[in-house]
Amino acid sequence: MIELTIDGKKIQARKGMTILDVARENNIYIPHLCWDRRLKPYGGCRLCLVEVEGQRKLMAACSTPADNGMVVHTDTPTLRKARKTVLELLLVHHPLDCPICDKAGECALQDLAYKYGPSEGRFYAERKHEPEATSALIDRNPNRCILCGRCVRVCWEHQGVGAINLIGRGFNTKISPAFEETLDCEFCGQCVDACPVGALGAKPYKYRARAWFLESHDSICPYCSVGCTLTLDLREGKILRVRGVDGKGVNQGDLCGKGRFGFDFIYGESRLKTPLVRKNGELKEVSWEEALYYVAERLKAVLKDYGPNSIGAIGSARASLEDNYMLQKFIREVIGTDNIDTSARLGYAWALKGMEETYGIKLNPIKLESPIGKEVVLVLESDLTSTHPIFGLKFLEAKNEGSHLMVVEPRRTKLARRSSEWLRIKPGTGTAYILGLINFAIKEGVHLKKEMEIEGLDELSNAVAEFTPEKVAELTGLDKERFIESARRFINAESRLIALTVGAAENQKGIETVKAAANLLMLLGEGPDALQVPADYSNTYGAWLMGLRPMNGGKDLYTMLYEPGALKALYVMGEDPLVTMPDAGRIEETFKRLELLIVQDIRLSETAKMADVVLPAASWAEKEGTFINAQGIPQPVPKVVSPTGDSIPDWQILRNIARVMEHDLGVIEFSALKEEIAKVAADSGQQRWRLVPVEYDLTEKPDNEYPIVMVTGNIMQHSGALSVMSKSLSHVLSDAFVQVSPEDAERFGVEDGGFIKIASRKGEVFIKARVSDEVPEGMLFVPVHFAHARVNMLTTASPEGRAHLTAVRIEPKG
Amino acid sequence: MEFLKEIEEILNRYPDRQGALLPSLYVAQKEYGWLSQESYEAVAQALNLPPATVKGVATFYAMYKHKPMGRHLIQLCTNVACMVMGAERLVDLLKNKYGLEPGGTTEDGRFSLVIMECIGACDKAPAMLVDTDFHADLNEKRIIEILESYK
Repeated sequence: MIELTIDGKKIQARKGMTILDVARENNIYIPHLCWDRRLKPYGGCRLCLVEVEGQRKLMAACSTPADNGMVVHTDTPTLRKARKTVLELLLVHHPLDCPICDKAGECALQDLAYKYGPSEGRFYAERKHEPEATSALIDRNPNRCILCGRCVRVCWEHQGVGAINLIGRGFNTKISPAFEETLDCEFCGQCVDACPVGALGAKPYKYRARAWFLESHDSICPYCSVGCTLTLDLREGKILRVRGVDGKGVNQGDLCGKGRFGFDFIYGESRLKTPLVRKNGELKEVSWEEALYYVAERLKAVLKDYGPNSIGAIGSARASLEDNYMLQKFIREVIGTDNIDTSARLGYAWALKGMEETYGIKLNPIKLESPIGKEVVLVLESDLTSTHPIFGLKFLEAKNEGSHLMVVEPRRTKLARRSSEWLRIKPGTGTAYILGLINFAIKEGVHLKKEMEIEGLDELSNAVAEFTPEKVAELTGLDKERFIESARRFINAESRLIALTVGAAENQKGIETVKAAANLLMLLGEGPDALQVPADYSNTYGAWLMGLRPMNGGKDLYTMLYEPGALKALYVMGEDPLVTMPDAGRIEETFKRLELLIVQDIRLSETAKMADVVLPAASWAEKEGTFINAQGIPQPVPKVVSPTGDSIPDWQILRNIARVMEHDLGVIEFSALKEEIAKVAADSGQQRWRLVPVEYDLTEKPDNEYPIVMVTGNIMQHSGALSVMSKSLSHVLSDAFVQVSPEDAERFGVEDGGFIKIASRKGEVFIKARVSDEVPEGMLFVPVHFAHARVNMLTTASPEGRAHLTAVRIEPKG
Repeated sequence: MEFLKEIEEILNRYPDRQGALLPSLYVAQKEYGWLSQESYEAVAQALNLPPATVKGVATFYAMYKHKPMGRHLIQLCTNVACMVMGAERLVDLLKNKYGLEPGGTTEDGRFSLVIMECIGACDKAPAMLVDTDFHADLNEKRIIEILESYK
């Protein structure tokens, strides 16, 4: 500890803090423009100048380390004059177009000029850059830029992207992509929040409202399971924009593109406004009364004819705890069956099962900060900065702070580009790589040093014996020496972490991947904290806890969707299996065999188009609720706007149907529902370590007829059904595409931007090709959530929870 | 590839990739003649840095070749000492003799002329650099003699 004096006040501080850090911690105001908590000190704007006794010149508080015995003054006539001059110089070329600037009212430069300086100075100059007009979502007006470089540094240092920079020198310097081209970045919009002035703005918000008329509410993001806090800005009952506020929420103010721009899905054109019932083969608008009686009658009929086990339900990984809880209550109490599940069955459930079989635990929430400070961090075939962007940032941060970031991944993802070591394996061979590490660790005797006994060592050791470095090199395509080098680094590290996703949209990982990783970590003496597998979506974790899964031998999602005839009636709430789940052809067959398909959703989904009755639900932000994020933290989601049309919250729809069916669920008010949910106990199981042998075998091997492996997944702008409803996100990307390697493009005559046919053993689809070296030869990557592309006609599901890659062939459409 | 080999050697001398950027830009300049878009992209790829970072850094420094240049680069000083000793007459001479304007290139691509800030040779003014060779005590006769040895 050190002690210094700021403005006459004696203050204790930690060594390594800057004067500005100390001042902020003690609520002492020092103005600044270029400083940002997340970035290295820059010392560019010169506004944080302070007087330090014994120093002849003024010191920049943001980049001067606090020292023992230092005496600092933050507000003196000299400083006021210096700050006034700095502002005067900034205003030389900053246009005073505040009346038409969206930043007015929340502009740091405006506020500082108000506090310290005149609105005009003695000097005059004018910048005459053209405002940039062609980029999606992010508005750049270089004339307003004060060149503080915060956007540039956030983009490169913090996000690891580097899309823009200060191009040029002196007066003519301008923030721009390298060659003044249209922005082609992640569109996270972190630069927009970082900009202290009106040089960068969100296009969808441009000229929409004056800042002082906005009403702000905090909410939780509906997209991935990180559960970021969003600050929603409303005007006249409509959400106009979303901001991240520094220090707020689990995300501490960081947001990704989906969180920042994707909120407008609630205003999507396809939103349902009234209930629909199929009459003479067509869905017709009806009243709630008619719809409820229709549902009740039909359900009763199916119950009477076939019994409760002929009915099933699929809940939603994005609906609130309350909605999901009510669905399972309805299904279990009113229908009387255990046939209920969610999309977690396709991914996260396998991660949990894998951990139960190895560590013995039933839940393993992630910790956002887990990568920080680990010697080696291994990311296994997972594009974390796309699927869980704010969690992904922690891996970049860990690397910046000295961790060795190993990325085992066929795709040139952002983490691969920014890694310390990128091991470019063949798709789906991540499990083989880990099994190779286990074999290597056992051969090296590393586990013996830990002096502990875990049951199952002999079986495991036999099972992995064939995964010699030679074999791993052959399977993964890595160089043998590189494999050995990376293995040595991983097993000899002081501390380590493995992170991966097992997503519902992904097909290159499965339960065996999780078990392999857990085995390896146990062998090295690491507990379940070293294995970070985040849940998929905003409430995947919560729905799981609420019992949205068979718990007493009921039918699971595989049976309900992939065994046509297993059910007579299906209730689908907030899920679109036809688009988001594999093997759509089979699902369609199942739906056709149903006597009754009830779909409750916020929009007319592909699944809803096949339904007998469609019930309109209020969406996120239109109702109260709770999400539990991947860290297991319950976070309230407030109601901030009115529901669309006649839609009402999911839980109320279910309550109403129960009433019409003359069944009292005992829950009328939201508060009663919450009380009931509070009593649901989470069973996280007991740790009991066990090494279990893991089988590794690609389910579908490429052959002469189908020589290419197709990997599916989520991307930066889109993840499932919500994002494609967002107009903003669709501005960035609205068309389905498949990534083809340049080698395969040449081999099969595929042109960039041209349509190609992809054929698998299941079927064929036509889709636009993007030739990109992000994928290696022999691999296609395709995002799954574009309904019109129907790529899930090609894929298969794996009821054993294994990786289920699809072997395909491609040819130009001709 | 000579280019990649040279960058690899530079990388060995620096703790990280960003540190190797300035010397790598010189290698690119030698390879491509000047810092074209192609050269920025090549450096970006070789160093695994975003092109915006590469260009942002390069454009801050005035002494890189930001446009195509002739075979030989004349950097002539016209600061106070050189000016007093007649440097401006030399500028006129280059214009008349070779059609060479400050910041320009001769039609045959033989010379480019850049007016340089103080070269640090005031005791032997006027002075200039031709490529990397230093020449001082210039006068109208001597400068032509010197330049004629650069073909």
